[in-house]
Amino acid sequence: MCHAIAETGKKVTVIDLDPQGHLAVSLGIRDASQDGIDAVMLGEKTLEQVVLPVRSNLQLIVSGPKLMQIEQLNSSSPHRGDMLKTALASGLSQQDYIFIDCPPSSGLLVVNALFAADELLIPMTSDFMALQGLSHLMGTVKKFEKSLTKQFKLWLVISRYTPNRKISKQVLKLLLHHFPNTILATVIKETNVLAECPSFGKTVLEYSPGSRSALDFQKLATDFIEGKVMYGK
Amino acid sequence: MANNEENSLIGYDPLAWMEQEQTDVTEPSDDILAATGLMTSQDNEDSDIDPELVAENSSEPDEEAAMIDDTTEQQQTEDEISAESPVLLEPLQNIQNVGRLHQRLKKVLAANDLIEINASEVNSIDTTTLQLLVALKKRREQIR
Repeated sequence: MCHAIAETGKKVTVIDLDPQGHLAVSLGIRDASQDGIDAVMLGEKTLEQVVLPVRSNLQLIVSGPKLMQIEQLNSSSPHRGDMLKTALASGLSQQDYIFIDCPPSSGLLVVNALFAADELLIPMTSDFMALQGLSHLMGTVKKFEKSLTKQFKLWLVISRYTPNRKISKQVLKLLLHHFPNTILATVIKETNVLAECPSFGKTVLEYSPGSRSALDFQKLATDFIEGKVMYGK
Repeated sequence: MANNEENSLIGYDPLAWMEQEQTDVTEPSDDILAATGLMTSQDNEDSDIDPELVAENSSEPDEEAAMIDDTTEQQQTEDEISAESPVLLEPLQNIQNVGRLHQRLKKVLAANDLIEINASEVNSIDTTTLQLLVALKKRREQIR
């Protein structure tokens, strides 16, 4: 989706805050030893030193080899949670969008992302365990909103949707019930090309341009930019 | 809500707490009943969810219908639900069986002046059931 947004002319930076580094790999960056957001958060490097232009209008900050250590930090420092926010304040001012790809956990890295972010974009598969995960995440978000006295703008993206499974429709219906006017209008359907393209280091727009999935992501990008949601206002 | 529909494939709604958190439990309403899965499937057909939206994503209804047969617990038919009081609550009383309890209580309420609820076997009860019981009490007072 970030690539599709960048193709509309918007300047986009994506930060891989997941120690697994899947985002970087899917954009063709496989050097796991490369310094990234880890070094910036630890104050060892600046954003300008680690940012990588990966596509036109799209730049990437990889996770870096020390990100896992940050996740496991056990210091009593009161500023452990705002390392990312502090790091981002020092650069990236020319960008239209900065996306932070979070790990599937609720540890220190996610805390840092929540401190730094204004909006939350949550990709959801249409199965029960995704609902369970969303419930857990929303618990964390609510606690944050309460303690930080701020309200996140929330977006949901339905991904890997399988139209011929009844449970997919039921999950979507349940999400619409709990999150009206929050789910981006275009649903990303499960397709083979989406499973294939990351291993080639290509986005689906490059791997299979003109495919249904590529068109879906282009529509999704427009939805995000224009705020077009299901049950549009 | 999907978890309350007949043939639902979602046993319970992990997100139900979000609405319960925002709702005054002492003032149950139809909205609460809907939010906590207490409305009937017929009620849910009036949902404001755009059918086109879901229909657009559905291409093989026959296959879906076949999948339905494989699913979840059997719903009790209208005739099988007892109208007798006392109503014995189940040991684990939660959102998975609250729809059945709702049906039972409606029938008992219609057939009896006095409703007795036996909760002696309950080990665990969730807020959806508690809300149902509060709603029952209010409805009973309205009828009087």
